[in-house]
Amino acid sequence: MAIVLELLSRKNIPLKHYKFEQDYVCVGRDFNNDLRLDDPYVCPSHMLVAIDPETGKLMVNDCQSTNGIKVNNKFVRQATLNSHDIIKIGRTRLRIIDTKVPLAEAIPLSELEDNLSWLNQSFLAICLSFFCLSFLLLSKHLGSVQEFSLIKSLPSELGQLAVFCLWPLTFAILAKVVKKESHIVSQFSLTLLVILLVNGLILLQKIAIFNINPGTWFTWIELVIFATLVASFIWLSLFIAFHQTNHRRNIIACSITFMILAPIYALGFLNTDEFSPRPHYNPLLLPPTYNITSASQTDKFIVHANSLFTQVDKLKVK
Amino acid sequence: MFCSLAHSQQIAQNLFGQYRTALYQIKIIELESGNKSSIGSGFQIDISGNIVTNYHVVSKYVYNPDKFRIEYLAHDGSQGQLQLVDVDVVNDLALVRKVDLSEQENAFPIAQTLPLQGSDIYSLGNPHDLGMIVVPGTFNGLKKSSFYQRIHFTGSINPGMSGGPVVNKNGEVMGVNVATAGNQIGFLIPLEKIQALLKSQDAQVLKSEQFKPRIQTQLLANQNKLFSLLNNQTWQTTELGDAIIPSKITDFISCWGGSNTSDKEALYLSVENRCQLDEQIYLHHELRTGGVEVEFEWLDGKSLGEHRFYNFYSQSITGAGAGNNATKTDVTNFICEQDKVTNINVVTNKTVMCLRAYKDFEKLYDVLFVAATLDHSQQGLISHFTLAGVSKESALVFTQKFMDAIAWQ
Repeated sequence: MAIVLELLSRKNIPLKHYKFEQDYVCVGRDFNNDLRLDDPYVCPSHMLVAIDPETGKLMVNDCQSTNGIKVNNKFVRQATLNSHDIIKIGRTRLRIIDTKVPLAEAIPLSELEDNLSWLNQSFLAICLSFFCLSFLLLSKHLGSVQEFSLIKSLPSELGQLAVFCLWPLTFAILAKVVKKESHIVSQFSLTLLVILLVNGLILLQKIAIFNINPGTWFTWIELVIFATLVASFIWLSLFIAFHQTNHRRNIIACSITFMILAPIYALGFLNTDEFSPRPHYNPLLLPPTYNITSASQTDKFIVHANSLFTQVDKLKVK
Repeated sequence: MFCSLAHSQQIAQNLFGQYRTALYQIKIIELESGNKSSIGSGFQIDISGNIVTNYHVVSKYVYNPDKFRIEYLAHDGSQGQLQLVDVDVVNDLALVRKVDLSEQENAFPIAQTLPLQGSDIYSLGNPHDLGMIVVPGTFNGLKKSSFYQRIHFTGSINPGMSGGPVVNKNGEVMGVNVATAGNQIGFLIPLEKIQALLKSQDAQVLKSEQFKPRIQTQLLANQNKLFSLLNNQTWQTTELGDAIIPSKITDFISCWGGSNTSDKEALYLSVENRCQLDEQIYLHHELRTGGVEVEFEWLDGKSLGEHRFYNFYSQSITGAGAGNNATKTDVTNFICEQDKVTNINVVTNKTVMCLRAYKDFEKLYDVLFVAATLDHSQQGLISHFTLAGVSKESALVFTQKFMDAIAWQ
């Protein structure tokens, strides 16, 4: 039977693993040892890990070391070990592995991983940034009534694009920090795609509001769509950057979405009671091309206005 | 010339000597500090102690009868308390009564008719708390084209003279000081309105809970009168861009126009037509009502392109606000209704109508209306009005008439 030891970092991340095809392992700073540790706090001959011939269990023995042995943070001179116990000698941490205990099944490889590989093309990312920039410039052009100068508005729009790029950059850096691939091209493509999608949806929303003039229920639909979009975006960013279980990823995505949306909507609801000498109405006007639904008649409008008086009287009581 | 000036001064001196005992400074005393918080002038009109002043002089007391009281200060320094008998908010008049009468009460006689245009008249009052003064001036007839009638007076009325009488050379009252419109032009409340107020000469003193219902009745009656005039006449129309709009909807509304044609760099054309009532009714220092504004703006995007034009067009109808001042305690927030509406002349508008109600006055509302035509890809007409202190019926009739008055040429 073999003894398997794992060298751990301070945060218990495995650094190296050793397998010994023998019944005992001597650990220390001396070059004679089976496992030699280059740690000044470890004695030349520090401890012995052995398999008890009677019970078949792993044992650890202190070889009269200066600094002793800690098993799961308790000083011991001799102890029986279980699988995954952590032994600390000097400043080194080792984990004992019982090879008899079966490992968990492999996480099935997500199809999504392969399906998203098309995002990882530099050509696509470059095209998308070009699209985004043109879109930003176009909306700036449409929003102004002064003479439009491309050169003058380019810096500010490039700046805005740069701000958008902070998101994929952050995820790429985070991925690098935890020693994963950065996937920076995929992150860029994803972010730019989402920006285009959001703007497309805003256009649709304007057309819908202008044509059907919906009530408050529409705000809730907007909220749901917006929340779904934000949550999926965060979920995909996480998916590309880190290897996590779906459960963990769902929780992170939902909580970040909540943290982003809650303050925005809470502020909206808190401000409704504030007195304002200006009315709140939707001033949106769209060209005849987008004007799909038919208009009502003056008489009907006046009938509706009539009930508006009853509504405003109710505000008085509060 | 010198002779006439000397003559005029002589009359002024005589008048002052004769009637100064009937002229008072009106003080609004804040109870908490025991000191005056605002002042004005007033004059006695009968021997039973009735004094006429401006409503705006006593408005603080009317709004907060438990925080203020009204006092007079006579020429000889004697003081006393006053009670509110009646108000006329529409014409900015108030009738107050002395609580304790002295043995010798003096009063101004009231003129029977207005004098001839160009006659000398004399305004009396207490400007800036400096003591009673006489200002000679000229009667220039009733102010032209105004719904809230005023006498046009050439002479300077200063703050603090509000509520003082204006008399003819015989010392008969024919107006009350009210406002100043800049150098040497003042406005006075005319005789007719004073005579109407004097009907309450013998009335009981108002209880403080009767103040606001009294004002409400007056405001409601006033807006009925105003809107029956506006709603029952045919509105003159005029051309603005490609549209036909109602312009001077009545004689007493004054109209102004403007355009951006002098701006060579503008990529669009904007032509405006604005009409409004000159006067508003003062209720307290942060609340005015009784105003009417009607505005039209024709926009032509020339070569902007439909998307750019409509972006700009949307911005142009953004952020319309009320035409009158009001605070949170006076009115509710606005609530709005909006829709696309085609009127009888087949003009399609995006139409927004907003309302707020007066918290103190039943059945009175402020109305704001904005509409923008949707028929052209690069031109549009914005129509807008605000009405302050109107009833539901007046507002609805006016709105319908307004909406159906717009047409294409």
